Amino acid sequence: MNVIRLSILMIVVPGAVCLTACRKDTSGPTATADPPVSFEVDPAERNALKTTPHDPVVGFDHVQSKPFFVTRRTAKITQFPCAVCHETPLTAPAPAEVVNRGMHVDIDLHHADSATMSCATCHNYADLSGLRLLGGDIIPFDASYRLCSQCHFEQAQDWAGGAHGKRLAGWQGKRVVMNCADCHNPHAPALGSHWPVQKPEIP
Amino acid sequence: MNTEKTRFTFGDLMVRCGFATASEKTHTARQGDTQGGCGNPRPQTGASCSCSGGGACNGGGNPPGGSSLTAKPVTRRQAIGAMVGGALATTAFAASSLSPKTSDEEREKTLLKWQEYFKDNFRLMSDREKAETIQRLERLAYLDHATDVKIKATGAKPGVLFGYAFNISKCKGYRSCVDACIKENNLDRKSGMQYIRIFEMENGKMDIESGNAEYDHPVPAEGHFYMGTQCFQCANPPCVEVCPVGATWQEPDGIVVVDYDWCIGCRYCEAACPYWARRFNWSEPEVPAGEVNANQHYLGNRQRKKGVVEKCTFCVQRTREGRLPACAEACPTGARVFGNLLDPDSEIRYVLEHKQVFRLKEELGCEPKFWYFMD
Repeated sequence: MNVIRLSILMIVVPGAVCLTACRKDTSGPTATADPPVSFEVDPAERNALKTTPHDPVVGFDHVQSKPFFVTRRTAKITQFPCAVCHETPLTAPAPAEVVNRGMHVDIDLHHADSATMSCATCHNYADLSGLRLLGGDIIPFDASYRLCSQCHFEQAQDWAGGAHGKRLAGWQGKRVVMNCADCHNPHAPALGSHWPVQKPEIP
Repeated sequence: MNTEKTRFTFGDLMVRCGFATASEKTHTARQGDTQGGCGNPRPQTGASCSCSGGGACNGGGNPPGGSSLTAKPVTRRQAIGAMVGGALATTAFAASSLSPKTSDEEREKTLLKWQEYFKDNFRLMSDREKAETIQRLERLAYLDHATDVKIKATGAKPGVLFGYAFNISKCKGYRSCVDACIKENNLDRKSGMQYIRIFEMENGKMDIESGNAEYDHPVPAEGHFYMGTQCFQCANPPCVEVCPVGATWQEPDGIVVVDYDWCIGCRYCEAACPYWARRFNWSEPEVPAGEVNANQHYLGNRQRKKGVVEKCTFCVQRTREGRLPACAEACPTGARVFGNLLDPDSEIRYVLEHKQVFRLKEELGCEPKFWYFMD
């Protein structure tokens, strides 16, 4: 019954002044030195995936298992690319009240405590279009599962193998799975409670 | 229902009359009355049969229970169907039995239903017979319910054995799977039929009899976990064992299916299933025309009728096309894992090899292909 908690932190501070233009493309110099292996998605598979309410996928490397595909994350971030507002790098974390008053009013942090993580634990202040691993590597948002797997390695292992998360499109063919943040809000990863769909009429 | 009775007693009759030996009984019952016969003792080879009917007595050269499934003579069933069907088609029968105001459509419906009445068990049908019955059923669906449906008879893929795993740590009891199942499988809305039951269980208890499937409050409830049941597609299915007419069987990919047009509604299977997986249609199933799922399978979600048993088929109409069952696709928590047990790279195999799994009532020896696991 434990709710899986993921360690992505995506608070982006508004109103900062930019010094350099941010890139939407994360494959530039700020991207990780060891970029994820990319696979071509053939057109037939792309078509098959259109039957799901998800974007076509990009190919990524594997975590511990065989190569598989993960849904694209950037297409679902409404304010992406971050450089539309954040033209310059941030130098310090913004106070919570600044975050809550700004463009990120919907972000309410219920993840690890403040002693464990801050905005900068996951977000790359130098270039907000990427995420930062603990070791300093910068990864694109589409590979955010790598960020989560730093702490939640057990879940990541199950996810890579197939015991955690959701597979899309079908049980056959190339394996396409949902990204961590497709199900879990990275700022408040626990799944909430709500009413069930239908009450059965058991004779 | 009269025909259903005839089907059953006919197989029985063959045994009683010495038309089939006791050892052949199972075979006869499984194949229904497709072997034909006139009810007289089996004549010796070379002797002439004394039956005088115009039906297809299989004479001396084709002993019942011995013919192959592929090379079939004209059976009694086919012959009667054709004879009376022909009469119907020439409207002689129709004119006498239907009112003069009967429309062409109703006449067509009567004829189609008559032909349906005399068809074979699905397993004994040739490809042509399958195509014909599917054509009739599609047309009947249009005439009866004004819906254009597409019925398939896709067979099992070689090298595929379906298995399912259910994560009791992840399920939150939202019942999204139940909802998706109802829509996908055209389940009777009137009686509120559901294949899936989600049991709310108290933490620490594993006896599913203590679970509550009728919970009606926001979920997940504190101190509880959720355990879903459906048909487990047992590898040693007791429901198939008890069926007296061979209307239910296990397919090569492990799915236990029902031929709704062969079922006599005796409900033995329902009683034999230790997992409460089978459902009986006490009344004519109703699905609003706009909500009918037109993607159908002969052994899956096609229109059922009053007096027959049905069950979860792991969405045979989807899974044989490589798609996931509707329940697995709808689950918002990822608690449902589905895949090919024979593929060592599949997710289901990962679960079986890396997680602690258990099966419900394992001691019964039904070998369900449905495992529960925890994080």
